[in-house]
Amino acid sequence: MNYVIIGNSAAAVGAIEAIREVDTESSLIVISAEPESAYSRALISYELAGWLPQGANLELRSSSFYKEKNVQPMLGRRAIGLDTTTKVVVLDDGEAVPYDRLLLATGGSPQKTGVPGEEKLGVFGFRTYGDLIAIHQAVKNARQAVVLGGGCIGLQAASGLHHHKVETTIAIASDHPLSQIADAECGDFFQALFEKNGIAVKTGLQPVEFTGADSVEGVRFYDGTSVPAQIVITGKGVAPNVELAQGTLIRVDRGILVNDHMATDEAGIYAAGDVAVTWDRVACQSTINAVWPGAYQQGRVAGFNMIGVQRRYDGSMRLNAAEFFGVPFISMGIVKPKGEGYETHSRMLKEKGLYWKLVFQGNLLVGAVLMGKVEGAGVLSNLMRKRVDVSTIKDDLIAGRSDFARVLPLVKVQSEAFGETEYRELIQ
Amino acid sequence: MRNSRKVYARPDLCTGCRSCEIACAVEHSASKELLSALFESPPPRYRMDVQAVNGVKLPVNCRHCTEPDCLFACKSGAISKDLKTGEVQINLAKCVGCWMCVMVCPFGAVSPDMDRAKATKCDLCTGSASGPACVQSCPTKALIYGNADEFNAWRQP
Amino acid sequence: MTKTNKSADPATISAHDHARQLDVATAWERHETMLPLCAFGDLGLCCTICYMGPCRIDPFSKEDLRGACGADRNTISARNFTRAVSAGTAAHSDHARGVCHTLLDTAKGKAPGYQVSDPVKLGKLATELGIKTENLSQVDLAAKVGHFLTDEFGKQDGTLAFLKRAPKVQQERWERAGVTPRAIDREVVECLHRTHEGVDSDYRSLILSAARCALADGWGGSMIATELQDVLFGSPRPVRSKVNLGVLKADCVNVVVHGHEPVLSEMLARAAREVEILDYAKSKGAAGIILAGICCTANEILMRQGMPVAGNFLQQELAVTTGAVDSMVVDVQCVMPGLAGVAKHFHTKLITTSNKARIAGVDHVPFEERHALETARRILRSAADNFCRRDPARVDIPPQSMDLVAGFTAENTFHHLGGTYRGSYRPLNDGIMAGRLRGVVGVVGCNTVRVQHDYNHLAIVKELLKHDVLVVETGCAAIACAKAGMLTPEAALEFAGKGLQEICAAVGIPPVLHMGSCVDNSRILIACCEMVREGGIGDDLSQLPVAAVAAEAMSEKAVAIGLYAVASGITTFFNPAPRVLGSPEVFNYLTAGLEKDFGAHWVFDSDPHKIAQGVIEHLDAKRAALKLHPMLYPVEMSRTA
Repeated sequence: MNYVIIGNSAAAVGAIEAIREVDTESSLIVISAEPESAYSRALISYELAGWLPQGANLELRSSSFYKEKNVQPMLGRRAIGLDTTTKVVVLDDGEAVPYDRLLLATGGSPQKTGVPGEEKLGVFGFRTYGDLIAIHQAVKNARQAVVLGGGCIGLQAASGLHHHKVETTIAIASDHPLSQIADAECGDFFQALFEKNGIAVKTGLQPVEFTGADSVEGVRFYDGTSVPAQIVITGKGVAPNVELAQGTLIRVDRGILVNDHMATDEAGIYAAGDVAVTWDRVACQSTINAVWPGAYQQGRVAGFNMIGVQRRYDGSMRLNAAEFFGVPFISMGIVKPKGEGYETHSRMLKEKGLYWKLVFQGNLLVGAVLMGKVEGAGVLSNLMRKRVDVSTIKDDLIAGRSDFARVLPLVKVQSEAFGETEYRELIQ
Repeated sequence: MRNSRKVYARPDLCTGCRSCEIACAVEHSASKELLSALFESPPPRYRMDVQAVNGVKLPVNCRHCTEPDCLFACKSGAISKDLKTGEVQINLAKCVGCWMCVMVCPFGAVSPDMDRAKATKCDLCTGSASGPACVQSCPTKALIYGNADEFNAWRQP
Repeated sequence: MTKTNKSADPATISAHDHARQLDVATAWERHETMLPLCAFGDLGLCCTICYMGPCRIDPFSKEDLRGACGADRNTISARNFTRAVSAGTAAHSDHARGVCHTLLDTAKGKAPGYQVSDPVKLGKLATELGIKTENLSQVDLAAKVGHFLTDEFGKQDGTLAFLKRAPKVQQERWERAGVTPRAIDREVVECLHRTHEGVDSDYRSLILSAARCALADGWGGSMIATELQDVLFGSPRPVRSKVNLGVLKADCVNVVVHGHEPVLSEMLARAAREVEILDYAKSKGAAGIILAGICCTANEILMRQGMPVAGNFLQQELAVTTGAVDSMVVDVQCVMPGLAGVAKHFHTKLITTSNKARIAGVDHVPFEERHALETARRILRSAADNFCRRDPARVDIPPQSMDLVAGFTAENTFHHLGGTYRGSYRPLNDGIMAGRLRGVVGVVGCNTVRVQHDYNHLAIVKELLKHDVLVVETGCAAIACAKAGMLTPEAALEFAGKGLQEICAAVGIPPVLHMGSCVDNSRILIACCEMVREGGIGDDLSQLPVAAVAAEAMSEKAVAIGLYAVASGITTFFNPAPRVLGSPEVFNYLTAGLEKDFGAHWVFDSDPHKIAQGVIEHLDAKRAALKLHPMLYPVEMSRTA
């Protein structure tokens, strides 16, 4: 049996580790356009900001990982074609790699901004190790920078540039940072925090041009203002890399559609990670939840199913965690509900740097934001993911009490949701 | 994996004295000695949390899960599971304090150590000859360090 | 079975091994079942004062955690500390009250067998207290003094009479700090009131009230007990005796008295010498009667009657486990309830005598002054009866016993220094000023299972002697050093530095002076006052090159003593620390903040060698401040080993 994985990040590692838990012998090939061994792209912002522990690097697994897992890495090789009838993956140098089971863990790429001048030197995405190296080079000579986008990636990129003493401006189209995953109240807190730390934040601003000759010299905005910048980082979101699926039976709707075994419509082909469309158990809709824990778990489920061990993926949910200037921030599920039937509770204690918000839909907890204090967030995320009826502990949750002991009574009565051994052990 | 050992609690024996918390903090202090640990800055942290709801006391710590969500969520590669012993451990040399594990642990057993920018959880006192400090400290013997079978035998009336 | 390492005393090790072989659990084994100790309690962060709690404060939290009522770690630990001090004061003082009543009963003729044994002291006391002595019979004088001192407990006006013994400057310090104690009971009661839920929560205010309470112990309760015991039973004089479990004899009826009040033990000592009692013992096949003491009772009958000492606090159960004790007679304080369980393994008859201190299942022979001597005889006869039931197979008496000289007091000790005919503190002060003596240090206090038995006492005293420090001792610390042979005049040659040796040789005293029981720490206060009065080494106690050490402290009494020493200007080295370590503020206040009010502070250290070092540095600093002559002789390095 030949197992082939295209991609080399969370989903790929999840699949490798699952396959090798059961089958240590069969051929297992990992193909990746990036030349590096598996690294954490989620950590490039940490690296830029100087937050990695002394001596640590971005490696996701030890340098002997491929050897230990008996994996044949084909790194720096781009897969450009997929023939599902002959069951081969075609690489950019023409080599054809045969597979019996194939995992598409191709991830995504930064979305183009569509702003004129995007090709200029000094305009970067912020997703790959390559981007990181290039930005490291650029900060040496840059005085000013503009970061487009006020999501987690944008804010972290700005922190990184600031760390390198580059005068940084964050330009956000919406009216507050983190607008996709937090309320204005919380976003405004972070805006003030960034400004206090010397990073300008401009809201409600759309870029219309990246100015300069070959190299970028500034950003001109819709309102006519300009900000000089020798570095521009665009953090506009990610588009799934679905090219390989085109021309096959694999159904694509923005991302690759899979069933709960992470299998596509094409026999023997699976998809996982940022390229896969999964069922969001909290939002109750099909979507791409491009988050790390989901990617790894989807890869793991795909891996088991590829070797014939039946595993079901119980669905994804949105999960974001970050920290800005010492203030931790977690956002999960539906935090800005639209439509009827939601009940929200929130509280901001600005002086203490604390904010928290819970969103309920009937007896279900469907969203939470925690800022400043994030202990016990996992208890909440599991109540959401497991769709537990929280009616009996709702008042506790609203009062901010979410220690696990409060959930224990639910574990006893809703045993179908809490089937794992670890829960069963806790009840007499 | 059936033989993997971890710290189990008997809530029926727990008096909620929180001695295990203190013992845990001391074991994870620089000096490993109560009076010196008091003066350490930042203070040592415990990874055992005695919670109480409706009169039931529940010592909560890492369950070293079979399917560890924290490991799946760890984007720095700091968390690993030893497939032989079942232990889930955080490699502090790699942890960047991104709090992904904190966000997914179903038991709230991984906590953010903001002073050190590291995630912390029960490490089963690896390296200590006498085993987990919490177990040693429990005055009512409400904690044991053992495998699932030992735990089940122990909690039978 | 591996050898025990619980003690620095070979007799204790051997007796403890014997107990373990017989599978008899003692304090050490019971303590092990208590481990690990609860950190909240140990640090003083557990509050059980009201019934909303118990509350406890996480010592590692950076948050301003508070108990249900809002008490923070400072309030909680200061209240716990204050309560310990009041309990300690209450213990010493209630003991003193008993002595007052015995004196009054004696005066009223209701206590046959008792008498005023030191009428000179009684006269001096009366004069000091402003009682006119002319035309008064001794009995009337005793009644007047007894009434006066009984009033010290409950009077509603004024302050304690004995405070006037302190130097003027010292009294003014107390006034300024607002800690001049009024009536003894009042200070104890007020501390209990202040520490009640919702009263005093300011840790400084609490600790100052504790200091006032402690002063009511040192200059009140304890001092009254010492003075009246001297009046009733005679002021001690230097006396030779023997110490350690080896004083028990396999062929004799062994009766051990344990506890604190000499009121009963004095009678036992008297009865044990009576021919008919001795004959009764012999009729049971015994060669004689050995009456030996444990703890402070031992110290009382040692210094007045020369009775042998069986051991200190942690040896109480081991006396029983020798299998050779026919009766153990106990009264109050430091009597472990565990004795009852230990005694069950042997033929030993345990008898409680105080109506304040009974042990369930143990024979109680109530001790009343009116029948004191008869009660004592009865107890001895029953011990002799019990001698016949002894199982020789279970008898194992460690061979060790050591000579000692005890019986020094503030009055007689330095008469020695000055020679019999010119009693004065001059020679002592001169010795200090000339650099022959570095200073005087009181090494006092208990034993505790948390420290290797006797080790700290011995290690510290050895170091101090080497550095020409004259050591004065009371309580279990004195017994520890006695067992190690430090309480003989000859010990100076072995242990003392050259300057101290010269003093000891000239006067014929041991380098370590046994000054009595724990209430007799008041004798040390008086000795310090005399040193100030003699002149040349300071205007109040805080300037003297003196210090106090309690390095194996166990009881609340020890905490009270430590605090009255500090509040009297004597810096005190204490271990294990009282339960305040959970509050950095209270810790700092005790170890530094009190200096402002009292010119002295606490030092908490668990390492005996560091304690000794700290004491020496402290004495040197005091000497430097007084611009005294440098030390005459360098410390002999050869003694370091």
